[in-house]
Amino acid sequence: MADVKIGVYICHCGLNIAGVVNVEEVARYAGTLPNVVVSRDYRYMCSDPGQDLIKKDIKELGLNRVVVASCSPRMHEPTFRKACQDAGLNPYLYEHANIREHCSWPHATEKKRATEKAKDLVRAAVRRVYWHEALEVKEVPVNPNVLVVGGGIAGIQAALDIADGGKKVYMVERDPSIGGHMIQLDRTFPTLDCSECILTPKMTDVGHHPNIELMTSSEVEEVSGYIGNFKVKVRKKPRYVDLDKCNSCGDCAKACPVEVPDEFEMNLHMRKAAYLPLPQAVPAAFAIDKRGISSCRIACPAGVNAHGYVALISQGKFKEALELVRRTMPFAGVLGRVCTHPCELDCERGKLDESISIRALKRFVADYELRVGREKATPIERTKEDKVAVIGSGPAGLACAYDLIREGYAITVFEALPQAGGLLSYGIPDYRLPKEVVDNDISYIQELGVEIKTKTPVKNLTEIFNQGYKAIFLGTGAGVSQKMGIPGEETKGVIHSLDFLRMVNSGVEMKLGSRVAVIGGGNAAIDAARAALRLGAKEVAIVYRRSQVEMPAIRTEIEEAEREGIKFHSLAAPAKILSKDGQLSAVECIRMELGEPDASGRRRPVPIKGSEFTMNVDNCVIAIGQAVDKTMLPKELDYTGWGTLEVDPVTLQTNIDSVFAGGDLVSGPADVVAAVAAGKEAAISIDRYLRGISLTEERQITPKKVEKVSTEGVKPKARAAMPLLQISERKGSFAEVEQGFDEKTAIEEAKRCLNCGVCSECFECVKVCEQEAINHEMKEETVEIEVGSAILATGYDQFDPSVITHYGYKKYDNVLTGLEFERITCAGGPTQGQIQLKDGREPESVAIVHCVGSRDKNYHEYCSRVCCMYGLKYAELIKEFTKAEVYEFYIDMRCFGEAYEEFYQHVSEMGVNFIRGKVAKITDQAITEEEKGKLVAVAEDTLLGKIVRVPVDMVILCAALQARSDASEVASRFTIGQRGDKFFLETHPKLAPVNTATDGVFIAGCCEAPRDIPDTVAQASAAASKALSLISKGKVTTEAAVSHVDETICHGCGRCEEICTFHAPTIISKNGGVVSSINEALCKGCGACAVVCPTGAISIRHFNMQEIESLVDGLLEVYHG
Amino acid sequence: MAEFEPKIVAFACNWCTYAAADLAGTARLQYPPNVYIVRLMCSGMINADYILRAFEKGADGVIVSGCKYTDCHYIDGPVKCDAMFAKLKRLVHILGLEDERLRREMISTSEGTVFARVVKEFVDQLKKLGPSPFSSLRKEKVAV
Amino acid sequence: MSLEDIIQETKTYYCLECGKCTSVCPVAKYDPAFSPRMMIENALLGFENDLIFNRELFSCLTCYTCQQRCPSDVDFPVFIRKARAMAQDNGQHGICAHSGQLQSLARLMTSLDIKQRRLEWLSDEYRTSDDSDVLFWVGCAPYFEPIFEDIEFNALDITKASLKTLNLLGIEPKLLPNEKCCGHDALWTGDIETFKKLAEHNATQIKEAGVKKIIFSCPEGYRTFKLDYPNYGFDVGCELQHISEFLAERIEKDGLKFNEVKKKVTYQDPCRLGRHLGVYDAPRKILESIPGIELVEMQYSRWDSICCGTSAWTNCDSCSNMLRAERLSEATATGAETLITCCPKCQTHFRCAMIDKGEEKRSMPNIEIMDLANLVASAMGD
Repeated sequence: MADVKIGVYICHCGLNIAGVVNVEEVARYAGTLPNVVVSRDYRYMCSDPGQDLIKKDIKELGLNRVVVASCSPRMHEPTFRKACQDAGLNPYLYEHANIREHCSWPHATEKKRATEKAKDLVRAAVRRVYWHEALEVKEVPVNPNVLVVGGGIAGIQAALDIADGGKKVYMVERDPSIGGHMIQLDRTFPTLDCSECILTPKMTDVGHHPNIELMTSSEVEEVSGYIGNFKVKVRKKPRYVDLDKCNSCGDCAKACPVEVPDEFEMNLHMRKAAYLPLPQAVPAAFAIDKRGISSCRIACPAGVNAHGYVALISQGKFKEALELVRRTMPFAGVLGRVCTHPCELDCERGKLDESISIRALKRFVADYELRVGREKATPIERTKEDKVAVIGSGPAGLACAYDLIREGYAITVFEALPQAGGLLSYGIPDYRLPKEVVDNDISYIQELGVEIKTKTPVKNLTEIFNQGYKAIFLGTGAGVSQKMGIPGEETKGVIHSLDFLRMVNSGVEMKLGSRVAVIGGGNAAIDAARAALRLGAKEVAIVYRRSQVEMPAIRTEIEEAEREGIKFHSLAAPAKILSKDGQLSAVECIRMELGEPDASGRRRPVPIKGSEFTMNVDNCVIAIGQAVDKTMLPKELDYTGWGTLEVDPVTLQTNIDSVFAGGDLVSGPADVVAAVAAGKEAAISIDRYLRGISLTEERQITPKKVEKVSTEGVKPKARAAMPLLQISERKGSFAEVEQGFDEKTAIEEAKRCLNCGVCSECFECVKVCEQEAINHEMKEETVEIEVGSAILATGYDQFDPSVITHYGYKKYDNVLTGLEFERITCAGGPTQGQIQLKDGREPESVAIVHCVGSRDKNYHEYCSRVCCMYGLKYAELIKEFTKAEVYEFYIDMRCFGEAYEEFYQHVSEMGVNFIRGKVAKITDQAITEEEKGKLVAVAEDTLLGKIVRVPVDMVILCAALQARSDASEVASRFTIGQRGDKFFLETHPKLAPVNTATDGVFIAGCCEAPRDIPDTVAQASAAASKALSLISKGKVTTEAAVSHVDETICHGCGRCEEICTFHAPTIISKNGGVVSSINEALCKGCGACAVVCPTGAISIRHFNMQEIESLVDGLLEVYHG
Repeated sequence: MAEFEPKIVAFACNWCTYAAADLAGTARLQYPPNVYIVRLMCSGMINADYILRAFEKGADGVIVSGCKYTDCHYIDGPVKCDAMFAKLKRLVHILGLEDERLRREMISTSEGTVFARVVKEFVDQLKKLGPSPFSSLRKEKVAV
Repeated sequence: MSLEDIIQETKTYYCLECGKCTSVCPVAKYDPAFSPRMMIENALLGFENDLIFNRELFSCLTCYTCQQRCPSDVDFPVFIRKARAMAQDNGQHGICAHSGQLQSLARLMTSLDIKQRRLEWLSDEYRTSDDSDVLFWVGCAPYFEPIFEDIEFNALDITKASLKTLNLLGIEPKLLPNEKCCGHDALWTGDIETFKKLAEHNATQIKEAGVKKIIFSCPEGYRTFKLDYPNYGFDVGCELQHISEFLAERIEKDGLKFNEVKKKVTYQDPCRLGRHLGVYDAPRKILESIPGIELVEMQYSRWDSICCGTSAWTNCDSCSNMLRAERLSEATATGAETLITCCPKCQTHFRCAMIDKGEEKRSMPNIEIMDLANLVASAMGD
């Protein structure tokens, strides 16, 4: 570099430097260094004359580099940079040597060596300054909008300050109302003014302020950009209530059947799924709490809203519950009896104790209707021109017909047999499914307008189309019993289950012998066996080739069969039917053992050689399976290798476009609910087909399951038992075995529901809302906003004291946290402000335990700062409103604020007992008469050196304030630091308490550290003023000493992108290759990218390798001029 | 012959360790003048080669010091510095440099006393150890 | 040394300005600013500053492709080397990759007082003998291990495989505990002072060791000992062999046999072993002798092969990476599963390119890469 002219200035700093360092000698030495054209020493370089010296030399001597050796650069580097700039020299062509803090002061006793070191430091600065380059400080405009995250007192204050200043604020609050923790508080110390009274007006101001856009139920999802120019993505969760229409009348909550613990009331109270988040909620509107779809609903193949009708039953709304079932399918009575109830298997309550008896509850509402009588259903108005034919009146066909008629189509069901219902009428015996139940469900369908033509077999589909039907649903089932294929199967006395059950159900008189064997393990086998018993057989035995646990029949059916005296021969298979005189005499069986797993995953039964045995029987019912009767179906349809109909698995469309099929015909023999599900699915397809829209689009939407089910306050309770018909009454009778619940049992059972998804989508609220404000179809949306700065006021979480097990929180009823006690004293709270125990009594004595989770290395080392004061406040309130004795267990009283100490004095004078000692345990184990029935706080009174046991009725734990559980995610989203305790890290604890590592992102309130309301408000205003000052400035300068990429060197390897905490580098495609590109506004100049850059393409301006290495060289390599 | 005076280069981050050294001076804590502080913005900016270079140019010991993990102005600089330092240690170990000549410290803003103590300790330690095995490479007179 | 001396020594004045050098130059292919012809021309016209203050001076790979085509036999790489020495005197040293650590290490090694701990990896598994008359040159591998751990490359694996092979052949070589960097990189970046010091230390140690033969697994060390040490007056006075030559000789003379290794491979000729020293056949002979190995040559091979993209850890620029991409696509185009080379630096560079994170935006071909020594060791193992 040609023509480098360096000026060196050595400051005396009075005697601070010159008293130790021989400054003249250093200046003389500096003058000998290469490129140094002038070197001076001066008493105070930072003074105006000192600075003028530099300016003059720059102008007159044409200096293009300046070195000042004086105090720490942290003090005067900016001063001298400015002096250079004033004289027309780029401020980055300046270098500072620290010969005071790092030389004269710490080496005051070694003057000679200090002088030598000063020379070394100056030489190094001269070597480094040689390589300095002029840098440009860039300016970018500031977007005047501000984002405030968190709607507690901090966020409210900051938002109002900014909005009042005339700038736009976006306030993002996670909950459906603003207010934060402060609105949960009853009174505030030390003035005892009511928290609600002072906060509510501010909340309302936020709600109405023209400059504040309030986004509740919303969370910041992504932040990009940089100071002055942030882009923020906000995810808005649906409220399901239109804010503009809701008039807060509360009818929805009254109608809502779902009760869950109220978080605002610290779960001391229940609320509805449709609820006002808090009495003074802003926005003043109800919200519907949906946390996903409950497991029972997801499990139901037919999509019946089990949660919904269970919730309605719990409120005694039986009619509404049945209506809700019928919104989905018509078979409440049928499926309430014969469903395989997958819902109950997935029921979350089952994980706690026992699942809800969902099927029995459904049956209950159907029975209830039969009992109280039903008005005829109103026929559905035909709105569609097309006619649809359903062939087969089993559950699949009728479910399909039911859904289509409700879409406004004309439906005709063709049934070959005299009775509609398929297997419901002909397959399942009355003791399990009485005829009148089936008839009621079917007549409901008919009343809606579905025409059922019985005794009308369909031979030819073309005929149907010729009658004007535009689409056909085939649901003819699998009506042929499978054969065993063993010798003697045709012997008289052997009967196949379907034929047997059909005869039983048609009331055909049958004569059975006294010994009956039933072959098979499915529901048909159990039905046949139990029917045989009822028809008078003395001994009935079931022969099944696998083990009994593998039987596919419904478990309770097997159990009942056993109770009724049916014998089970598992791991056995018939080998031969023996006959005597053409009449069945015995079945020869062979024992099986379980071998390797087969395709179904079950172990395959294999015969044990030589294990044959003979059972003497009079009749044998074969129930090993059913098949599709192809002879009844048109030839032009495609079939699978299993003999079932081939359909599209999603749309159920057959190879003929206008023909759809479902049920056993497609799936092979399955259960009723699967058939209903198939019928419904086909109905969707047929409707889409007839309307000419895509059959497949948006068809399979995975429902959002509830992630975490709250079991707050749930006490174990067994499921209600189903009353059964006495065994003795069952023989010879087809009377129904299961008797059903009575009203009381049904309600109690329904109340066991955990309400996993909270809102059950029963839509009762929609019915009652006169404003039509409720919309269950609202979707989550993400909006992008642009702001210039952001204030994080995300608050704190209360420490959960249950982890300190010896304090008995959640174990003893009357051990409370501070926030719980706030709700108890609050006039609007669950006890209307009465300080009382769980049983309603007024406490006679209360212990207030300080430092719960604070000042404790096991939990949080820090002091939570507010507990002493709120502990005092509780003492004062208890004293004021009850006669109770109060004990404050403290370690130190920290009453540091305005009028705090006075409040302490005041409370002391009220006769509160102060015991200096941390409570060791809270126990209900009494050792004296006095302690009986009380909670005992055990502690050492450290002032007396004595262990004390204080019996009390109530214990209040002053639980610590801790960082939000998701503080880390928020910190990484905004790229700000956290301390070890997870609270957000400020730039400087004293001088920049609201700034963060990301310029333009400020913090306020308890997200930074625990603090009281006055401090929070002050800090919020401070953050607001930071944001406002940024806006008034209108522009920001970006750091000049940032990362820089030499694109001719860069490989685009991405190591920089990977290491950067601030997301400044990105790999981009350029000129056919890839290179790293630095967003200078995001770059903080920390230099991590340059360290990992393998090629040397990245350098940090003002701190490049050349500069640092020449500085190191200069420090160590002595130069003698 | 004069007593051996080791030379120490301390790479210090601007926000914590450099400020701690300032504080040591302000408090007039006395420590030997053997240490030269190189001010960098962050300990995560310290390149392994800066340290090799310091030894090449005649340092008898090197201190790498920045903020503690939770104090970093750039959030996680100390972690990045640790990664660099671990690698570098393996490298200079193979080179035959005594492990004691390299110190990794985390001295925060308020720890002026710690800074002074570390320097004093290190000077004593290096005096016992004698000149670095690279000291012969040191040049007395150089062109700039 | 002046520019004039360099011109005289490298016979640059014979240059016909035909431009063949530039048209075959792999760097010039991707970097239009780079032209061997123009550099020579600038030198001949006496534009010294244009030569030595030009960043491109350090971009030359010294791969010898140009010199092989030059009708006037101008030794361009040596010209570059000497011009770089001049540049170094003027404070120019190119853009150092890996923060310059490798250059610093070489300079630090010139200290006579160091006692390296470079053989700590040596376990009982490997047999060495201080009385052996064969010396195995370990090279920089111990230092590469920490530096390149992030690209999952341990150069010591090559060293270990070579030792294992020698042991299996009954040779227990001598290793030097304080072996210094051979000085190759210092020499080729123009740091002659460092080179000379290192060469002197090494030559002295070897003479003291009294061995008859030195075996190298690194082509750069081999070249430096073979050509540059004598040239600068440091004669080690013993036979020098690359391990591939040593093994090829054993195959030929002693009928060395290998176990079967089923693999389709291709082979990268390192510049130093190939064009610099003309060793093309030995590695191929070994590959052909291993049963099961199918060798498929890349489009460009032997004297025509493409360099791995950087030399002497300097100016590893975007054009280096494009060269790597080109070479790796050639390798994958052969259908081979493994790319064999016998230079640890080729492997470093290719591996580094393949591990780059910018991958999704650029398609860097991917292939397994292995040193010949490792392949041989696996073909000799039990």
